[in-house]
Amino acid sequence: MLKIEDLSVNYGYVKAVKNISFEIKSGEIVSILGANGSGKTSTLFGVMNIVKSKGTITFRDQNISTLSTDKRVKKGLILCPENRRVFKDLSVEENLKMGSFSRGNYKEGLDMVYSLFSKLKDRRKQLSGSLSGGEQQMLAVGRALMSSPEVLMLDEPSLGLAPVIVDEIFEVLKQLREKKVSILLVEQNALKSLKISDRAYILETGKIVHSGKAKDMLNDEKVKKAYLGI
Amino acid sequence: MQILQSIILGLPQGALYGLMAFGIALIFRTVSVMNFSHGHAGMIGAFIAFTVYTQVNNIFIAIIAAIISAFIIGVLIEKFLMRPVKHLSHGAMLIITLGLLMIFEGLSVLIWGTDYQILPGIYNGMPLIMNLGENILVMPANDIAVTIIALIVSVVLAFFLKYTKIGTAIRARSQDEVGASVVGININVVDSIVWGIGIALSALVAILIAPKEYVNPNMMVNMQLYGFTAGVLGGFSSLFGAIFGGIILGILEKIVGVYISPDYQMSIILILIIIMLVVKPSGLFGKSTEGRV
Repeated sequence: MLKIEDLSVNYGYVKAVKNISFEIKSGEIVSILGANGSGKTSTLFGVMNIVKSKGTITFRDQNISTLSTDKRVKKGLILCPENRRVFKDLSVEENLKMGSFSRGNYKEGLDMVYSLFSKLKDRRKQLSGSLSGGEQQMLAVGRALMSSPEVLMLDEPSLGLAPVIVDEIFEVLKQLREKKVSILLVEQNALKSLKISDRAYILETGKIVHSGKAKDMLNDEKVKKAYLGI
Repeated sequence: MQILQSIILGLPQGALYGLMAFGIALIFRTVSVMNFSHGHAGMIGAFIAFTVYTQVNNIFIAIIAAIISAFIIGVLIEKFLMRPVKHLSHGAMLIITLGLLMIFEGLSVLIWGTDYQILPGIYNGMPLIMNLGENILVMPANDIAVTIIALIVSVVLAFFLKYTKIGTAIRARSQDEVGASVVGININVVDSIVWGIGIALSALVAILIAPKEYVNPNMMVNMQLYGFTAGVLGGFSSLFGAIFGGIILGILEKIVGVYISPDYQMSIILILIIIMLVVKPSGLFGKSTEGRV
């Protein structure tokens, strides 16, 4: 469904991502794992064209490498960025409304998000800057869902959250898979993301050093020791 | 009753300072650049209004033409000057606006010369005469028209930013650029609109003060200064703080003029700004300061 070939991202002379290739099939959850600074966020920014990148990106058999960020969003590539990036001086509801800026039905999306995260409904008139970290993360995921994603990319959705809330968010991801949404999950919490993933790629200093089925990785002692620290 | 008189007389001027500050703050908040060429861009708008007025002899057509032209000037500034350096540094953008200031000044002298040109007021009816106890207050009809226009424009902009989709997108972009990108907001389009609105506001201010100041290359120098000052007073982080800051500034100016001396109007206000920056840098209505240069 989404195929990335030879993607490179450079910041000046610094090569953050070096010619990586990966793909996500329809209805799959794919994880990209790796330590800090291994190029995970840069990869996603490259896919969304938030930073300049080289390489070929094919979505539904169509080359989208030259499209701008907003056109990629329009096609259904939705990123839920690291550090939440919610609009702090906008209310929860306005944030969600912005989620449906270029795609998705506002009313239907709102019902779905509120049914997944009932806490957001209680706080819908509140400024999102006044929410707790966990609620802001729910809002970030909710905002991404408002765009009715075809491929949902999540960057560190568990960052800095209490385990209960992490469980809640992962539960939502499982429900989304049942709705045939393809998910690209970027996480430091390797064990947790491998458990719900179909396949995984391991990034190290901008290169893919290992890839395969998530189940096999969980059983491979070598991989676990070398890359995942489990 | 002199104080009431100062307040009433300060309102029209203050409303214009507010509009000026609103434009500067809108651009600052959205693209994080202090636009030093703001006033001069508006001055070009006033000259355009003057040129159109000499052709068609209708002030309203002249105003509309000038505002549309100013909007286009703003869009062009964003597209050709700001966009290429957007992600390089705020410093580069700042220097470009300083350069633009000089370019606009030079251009206006080249095209229109240094003569003072007359642009008529919007409404030249009977002045409003108020009886305040012993004093009689005379308020020119044009001043009333100016205040009403400034208020209407502020309210319309407030509704636009608060309730329309594109207005909300502008606020979203000013709060988080990456966040705005990933929901599909085209950052470049939003920035162009913001520059367009900002410069159009400056042109409107220039046209509205033209009956008093005449149309000339330096007509907006004071406005630029007062616009900044009003923004600092009200707080750049709040757009409505900017408008209230402007109104307060206009009234203060008159009060200083009446009770101290007109010679000290500018200096006392600038001292006030220094005090403001020391005591509450975020401004009267501002929230916590953001680390922007």
